[in-house]
Amino acid sequence: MRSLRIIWRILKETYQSIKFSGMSNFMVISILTVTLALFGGVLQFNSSIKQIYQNLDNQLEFSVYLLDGAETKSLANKISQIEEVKKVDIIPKSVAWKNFRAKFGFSNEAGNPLPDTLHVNVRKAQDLKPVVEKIKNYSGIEQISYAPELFQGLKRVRSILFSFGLFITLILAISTITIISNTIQLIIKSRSLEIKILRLVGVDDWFIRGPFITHGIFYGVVSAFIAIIPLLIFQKFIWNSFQSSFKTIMPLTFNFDSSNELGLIFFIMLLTGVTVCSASSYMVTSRYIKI
Amino acid sequence: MIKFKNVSKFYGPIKALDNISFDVEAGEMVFVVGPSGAGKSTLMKLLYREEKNTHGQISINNIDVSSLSSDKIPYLRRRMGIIFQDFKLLPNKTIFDNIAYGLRGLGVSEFEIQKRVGGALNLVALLDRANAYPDELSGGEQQRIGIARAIVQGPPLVIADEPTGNLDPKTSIEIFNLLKSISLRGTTVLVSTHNHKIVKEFRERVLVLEGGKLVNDTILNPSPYA
Ligand SMILES: Nc1ncnc2c1ncn2[C@@H]1O[C@H](COP(=O)(O)OP(=O)(O)O)[C@@H](O)[C@H]1O
Ligand SMILES: [Mg+2]
Repeated sequence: MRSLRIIWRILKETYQSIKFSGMSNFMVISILTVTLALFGGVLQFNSSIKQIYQNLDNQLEFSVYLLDGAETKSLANKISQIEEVKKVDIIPKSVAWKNFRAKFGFSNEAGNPLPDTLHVNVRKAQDLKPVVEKIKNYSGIEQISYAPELFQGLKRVRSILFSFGLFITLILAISTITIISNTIQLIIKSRSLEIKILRLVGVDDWFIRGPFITHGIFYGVVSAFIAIIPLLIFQKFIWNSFQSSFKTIMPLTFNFDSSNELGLIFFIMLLTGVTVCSASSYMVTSRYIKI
Repeated sequence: MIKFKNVSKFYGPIKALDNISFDVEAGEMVFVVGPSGAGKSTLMKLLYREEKNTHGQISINNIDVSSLSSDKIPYLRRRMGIIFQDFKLLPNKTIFDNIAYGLRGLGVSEFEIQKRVGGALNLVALLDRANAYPDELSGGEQQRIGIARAIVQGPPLVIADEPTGNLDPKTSIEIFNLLKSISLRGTTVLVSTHNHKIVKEFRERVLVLEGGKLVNDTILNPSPYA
């Protein structure tokens, strides 16, 4: 009973302390939200890109675009003779053109600009590159399109953006900690008489510090919930439309679904926000409130 | 109840208390008298562990205060009531809430708080001002609230550091009388003042401090019947 009453009173004190902080609350929550959103964004970006090329590394299929007038059937035959090749599908240009028109809503049937295409499947992912190398020199082939090649650059971009993002996050985190510390310190100063009275009456240390730490936790929770919103929007609209437009240029046999990752990312953001805030509050209380 | 044995306190190079020894029995009322800077506040702060003595031993009810670990300090303080020269009342809280404030922090139930605060206010004869704010009261009344807050937990020891420092002589005597009546109920009361004259009006034990030294420990005007 007594502990319950104390917890209830800590919550009441927390409410008072939040109310007292007024506009500082908005400042803290804004910067913390930006920091957490950026941090979450970096994680989201990183995990999406990682997912893409993990999947791409596992790709078993590539497309071969043939020159106009090439011997489609015999080329397909020749390729399927290669030991590592499992199967070759011929996509005649008329079919490709139909699919393309359906996808992009063209009504004009004339003037098909597409070549015949072969979809080649290999048995193992690591066979893909040697097979591509081998048939690259066959005559009648205009271009070979396969995913891993496209993503060599992406890997580099990812690691640069990832480090840069984390660096900015770190700088923002330091300013956030400073602002939180100042805010809490201000409340402690303004309530120094109350704190002194509580100390001298023999109130437990954790009751005195408690409200400041829960105040910090409040910042962490609120900011994490706001910060996840832009990430959800990114996930839902931008990322999905990026994927579907991507599939029109690439034969991809998977979906990048990072929604379960987003749950984890949110959890990390929440945990980080709460930990950083409560730790800074705790540090301020141990510095400015003595027994 | 209180034992000081060869107690000294240094603030850096400043010697605030110099080799002080005395005992106080339970239920005694003791004045600590001396000019400003004599070390009165320091002596009191050592008792409630706002400060720690540099040398010697201090014990309250056989508990060694000087070596108490910081997590035990709240328990020490729950067994004493502290009264200040500047009252230390919260201006934005009512009289009732001022007295209840610490009890709420201690997790006392609202029902129990009602009872105890009522009792304490009754004792200082200010029950009718429970809903007033501190600035609506006179200095003497504010200090009586300070006293009510100090005794609300029924502590065996009350420590009052210059409780009349901001009050006129007539009100000061009222406050000392109130503290006397509290000690008569069995509470040990330690009260400091720089006003020698007022102390002479009382027949009590007086510790005289000067420059951190205990220069006199006598009972003034001993009763002819004692
Ligand atoms: N926190 C402190 N730091 C340094 N010196 C102090 C401190 N508190 C008191 N003193 C010094 O200790 C001596 C005794 O002070 P104090 O106990 O406050 O005396 P009183 O209460 O009798 O006026 C004085 O010389 C004072 O300046
Ligand atoms: Mg003093």
